[in-house]
Amino acid sequence: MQKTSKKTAKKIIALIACMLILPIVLTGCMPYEELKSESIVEGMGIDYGDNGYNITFQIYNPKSGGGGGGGDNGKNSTSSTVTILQCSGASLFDAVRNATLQNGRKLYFSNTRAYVVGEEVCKENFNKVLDFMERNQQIRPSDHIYIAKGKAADVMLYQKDGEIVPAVNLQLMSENNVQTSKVEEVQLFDIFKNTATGCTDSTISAIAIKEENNGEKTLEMDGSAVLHNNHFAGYLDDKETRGCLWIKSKAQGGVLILNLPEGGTASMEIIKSSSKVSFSGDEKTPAVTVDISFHTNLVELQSQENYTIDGSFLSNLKKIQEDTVKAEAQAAIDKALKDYDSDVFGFGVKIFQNRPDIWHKIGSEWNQNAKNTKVEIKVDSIISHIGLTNQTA
Amino acid sequence: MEKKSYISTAQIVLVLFITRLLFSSTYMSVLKTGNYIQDTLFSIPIIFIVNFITAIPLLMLLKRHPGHNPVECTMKIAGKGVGSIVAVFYYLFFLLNAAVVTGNYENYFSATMIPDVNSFLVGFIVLIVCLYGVLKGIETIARFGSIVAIIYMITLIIIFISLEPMMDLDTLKPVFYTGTSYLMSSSIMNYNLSIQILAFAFLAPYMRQGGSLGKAYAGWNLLTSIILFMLMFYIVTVTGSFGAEQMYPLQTLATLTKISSFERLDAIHMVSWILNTIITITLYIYLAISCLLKTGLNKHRRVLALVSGVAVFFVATFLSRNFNFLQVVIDSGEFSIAITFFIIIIPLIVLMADVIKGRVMQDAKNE
Repeated sequence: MQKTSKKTAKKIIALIACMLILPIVLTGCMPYEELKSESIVEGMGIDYGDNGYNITFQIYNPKSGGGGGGGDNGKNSTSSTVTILQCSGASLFDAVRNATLQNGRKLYFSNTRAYVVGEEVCKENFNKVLDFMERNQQIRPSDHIYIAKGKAADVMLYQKDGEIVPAVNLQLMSENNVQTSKVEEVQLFDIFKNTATGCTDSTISAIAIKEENNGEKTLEMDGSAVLHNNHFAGYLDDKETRGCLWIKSKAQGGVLILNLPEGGTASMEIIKSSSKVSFSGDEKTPAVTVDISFHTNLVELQSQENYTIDGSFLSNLKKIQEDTVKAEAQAAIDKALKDYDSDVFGFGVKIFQNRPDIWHKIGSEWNQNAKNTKVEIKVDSIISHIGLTNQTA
Repeated sequence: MEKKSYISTAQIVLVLFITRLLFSSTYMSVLKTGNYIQDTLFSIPIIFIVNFITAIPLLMLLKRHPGHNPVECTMKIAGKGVGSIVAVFYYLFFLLNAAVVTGNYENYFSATMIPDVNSFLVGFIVLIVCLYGVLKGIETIARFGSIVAIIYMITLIIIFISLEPMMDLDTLKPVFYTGTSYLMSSSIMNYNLSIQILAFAFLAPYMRQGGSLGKAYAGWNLLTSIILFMLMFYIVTVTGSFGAEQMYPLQTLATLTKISSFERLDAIHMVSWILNTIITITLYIYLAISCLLKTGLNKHRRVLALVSGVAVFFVATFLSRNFNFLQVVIDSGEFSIAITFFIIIIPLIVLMADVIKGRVMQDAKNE
């Protein structure tokens, strides 16, 4: 009887101890963040300012028409679904923390769609911006990054009519690059990976605000910016950007407009492409061969001439499209490699991977000597389909 | 006193497999491989062979004394005094490893989840859960470990399948261009992480009758090596030299994972990793206590568990605040010496003593 009461007493003590300790561990999912104590950042624009950096945040505003920010000295404006917050700091992290002086809530970066870096910041040292993004545990390597032609704040402040979250628009424009292949989808991971090699430069999609004929301003992707040694080197236009994508095997869509010799144009839809880079020189004259192969469909033939799409027409068309692609790739190489000294194509890495003995001799000066690389471009294509008719309309 | 429990060979293999995967890539950044990260891949086949060689003394000892762990074997051969000293050494060794795991867990938690949280609080909470598992016994640990292994495998399969398009096989070149220095340093790192050889020896007495020690060990070694190789392969081919400077490369892989509209699947990796941490700490503390129980403390199991938990807590808190030490300890030659001492030298000495003792007794019998 005594033993039973002792056992019962022990059980009761153990139960009370559990009831005291368990609430500590039953506090719910540990990494949860209360929405009302955090501001979800959808977009971040980085510019230089008097005190270091001027940052423009697009913060998601869950209440339509409500204000998410406020502050006596804040530069805030509220649209229906985003609040714009501008702050400055000596470093990026300092600026992020200074945002709480205006906002009252900590910024939450795990849902950020777009990081836009101003042109001036890229000219100085892009590395400083990258370090903040690489080190922060909330910022994902799969987030997109852009360069603004001008100020990043202008891009962040731009809102298209009907667009719920402007940063989402940027993300979608980038992800749908396959429709034109004139825009490269660049994630932070691509920049980190290139930087880690020590010999590969990066291209970043460029955004510009352009004025239309009717005076309205519109935001659009406008080629890409080229970095050299983590400094801004220059821009590539649409065709040069696509040339870059041909060499990187990233041109998986878009349209080739071919001028036909007897008049008219043919629109070729790019279906898929791949490229292979091989090294064929020595340490005195490094040479690289780029083999590009791609498939297209004939989707439109605009001409006064009455063409019949037969074997000879198709072989001429094939030749024309190969010359067009070769010209685009060559234009990209001339601009990026020769003019800007930027190895955005990864030629240095290819030499390192395939001929490390030669890389050992030329690698230390690759950043200066990449432009001396002889590049030979070979193109091969297949026209897969011609549509439902073999005549011009 | 805990009732003798038995667990299946498959459960032992899965528990040891999952605990070995815990730090599969965490220490890679210490090696500073840069563009030569691909050299570390070849350390996995080397360790596969080394694991067989290093386990020979232990396996031979266990074969000569089935149903006993190394401490019990030592007590049987060399007497209770020597056995108790060996038991204390193994106890401290397992506790140190438990503390290193806990310290790393605290660091990982504050580095990847919530930086503001006090790291010692994180360790405290996880240790409460682990101590509960320790008190429940080996059957519970083995069952939980099997479930965690399945969850971990599913997580890895999802990551591998979704990252397959991002693989660049050219990052596997060049191989051994700077010599074998990175190969050796990664082999040493992997050798230092192979505590499971010792854990296998202490789990062997719990194996159900009919199970083969050699087959179980070979099964664990093979499964672990294959999965480790695949993990390293993906880190090299997907992240390249960027992965070489990452604190948690597997976490980076999980962050890049995307399936249709579901992206940023690092959350599922975190879940698997935390469960893995719990099972690893629980197992190490359990095995630590099981060493001391043989010295006559079998009636004080609960007190031992509490004392061990407190010791692990304080050491882990110290380690988590000395980040350099935490990183270097696994990569250091001193730790290799400690591993060699506990896994090879002690069992070898005990085995030799057993063989000599057997021969002497045989000779005496013949006379």
